[in-house]
Amino acid sequence: MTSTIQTDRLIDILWQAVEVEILPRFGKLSDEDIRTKSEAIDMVTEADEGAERLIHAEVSKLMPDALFVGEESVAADPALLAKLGGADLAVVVDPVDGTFNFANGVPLFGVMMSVIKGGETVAGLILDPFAGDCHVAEKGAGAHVVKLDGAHKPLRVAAPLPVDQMLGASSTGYFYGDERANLLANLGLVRSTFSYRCAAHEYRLLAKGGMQFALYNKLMPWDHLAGALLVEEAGGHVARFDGSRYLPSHTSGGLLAACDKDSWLALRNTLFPQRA
Amino acid sequence: MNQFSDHDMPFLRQILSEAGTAEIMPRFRGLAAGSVAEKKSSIDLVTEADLLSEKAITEAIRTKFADALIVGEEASEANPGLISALKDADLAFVIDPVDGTFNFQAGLPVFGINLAVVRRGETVAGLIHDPVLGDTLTAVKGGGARLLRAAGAEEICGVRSADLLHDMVGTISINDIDRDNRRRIAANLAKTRMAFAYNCSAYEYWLVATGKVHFIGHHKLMPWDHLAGVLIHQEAGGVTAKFDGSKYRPGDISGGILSAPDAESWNMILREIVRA
Repeated sequence: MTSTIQTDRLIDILWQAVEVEILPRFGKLSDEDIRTKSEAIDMVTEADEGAERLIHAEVSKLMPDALFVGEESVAADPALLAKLGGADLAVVVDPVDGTFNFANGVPLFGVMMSVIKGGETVAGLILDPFAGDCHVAEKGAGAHVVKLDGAHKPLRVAAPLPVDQMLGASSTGYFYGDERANLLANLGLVRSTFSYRCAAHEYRLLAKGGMQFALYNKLMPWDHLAGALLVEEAGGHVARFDGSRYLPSHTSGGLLAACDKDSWLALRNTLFPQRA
Repeated sequence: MNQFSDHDMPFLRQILSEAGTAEIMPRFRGLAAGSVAEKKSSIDLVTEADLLSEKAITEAIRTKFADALIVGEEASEANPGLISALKDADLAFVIDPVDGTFNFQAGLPVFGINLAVVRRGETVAGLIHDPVLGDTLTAVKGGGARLLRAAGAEEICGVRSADLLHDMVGTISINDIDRDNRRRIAANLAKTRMAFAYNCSAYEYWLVATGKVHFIGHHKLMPWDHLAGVLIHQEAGGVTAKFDGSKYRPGDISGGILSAPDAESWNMILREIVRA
């Protein structure tokens, strides 16, 4: 078993991936013909694959016993996903979260990593290449923003608000039929909802107190494990729609994150009255 | 009085670029040691960025167009009559010094500077500048729309082709309408492939005018939020009109507007999303 998690080293690895594999391709997209759709998508794929390869290689040196799970590696070996829940130690990576934005020249994407021990998320990292910082959570040790120069600042979710005063991000593209129409109508009851098409930035915003909730339906672990821990360690409440705890082994059941348990419940009952 | 001509576009772009560099970016994420932003709250910083950016842009325009009417978001707060004067002015400039203040304050790099040039009640030029990347979208009436990259590259903008509604990506901003209508329109958006909302009309116009999304609509019509974007979208080949089908004109502040790929899809989106 590997000793304590070296988050500083992991952050360095993510920065390396940003500098070598990710940002150069974002710049290249800007200079070339961004209207050639296939080319833009190729560039995202290259950034994704290149960054995952680099991170995988570096993490293997640092934590040789860890199971490595990323979107690309799961595409190559789907069985990896099922091993996550039972692994002694695992590292889960999303090298470019916010691919629509990346491909379209919107500077709103992030790099996410989580560390899993015995079926629980014990560390989560969300890095923003443009802000030059990484939001870091360690289980039981709180959540912090770590600047490039090493400066630390604690993160804290906002004070809870009544449902009709809440601002939040909701990703509704993976709900279907009446369920989607009902949910969208019920989201009309909060003060304002939006979607930046980038879970990394939405979790960061919630954890630092910039809004009151975030909602997702598609639960790929690389999209949500780091963010869920970040929000919890910043004092918020995160659970699946039925109220159960979100675990690395889960890929369904939806996810709602809010400032505390009471406001979570009030919002869940407004958005999904049939579950109240 | 100095007449405005197409040759003034580089002059205007330079003004926006300088305001972005000198007044906006130093206050964004105000964390750098020794920066103007050190030790100030994020609300103070966004207020300062707004006021000082508008002041800088206004003064720079005055050096060449001393007699023009200048309608800035901040100036209009103090003098609401400025908006109605837009209809009759020989020459007017309409400024949104920081469009997307929620994002600016939250540290999200999604905001812009909007500038529209209005001659006798008609928008004749529009610019949307992205201070983070340094890129600018520009259009002059009858001359097409262009994306000018910070590094010097130039691209012609074109809207996305219309598609079946369930394959389209778009958004109708519902924050400023009553609860029942919010719920109704939100539920109707379930008929589309995916809704998005970036809390920034500059970026929404950017995405719709460069063919990244299909449609956008708004209920609240403050001129600094829309005049530049609407012209750029039209010059990129799109269709914008008020919900009642009438032309959107400088000085209009109510009625709602919809921007779509063409007249047919405009009618369909109005029927299926806004009216249904």
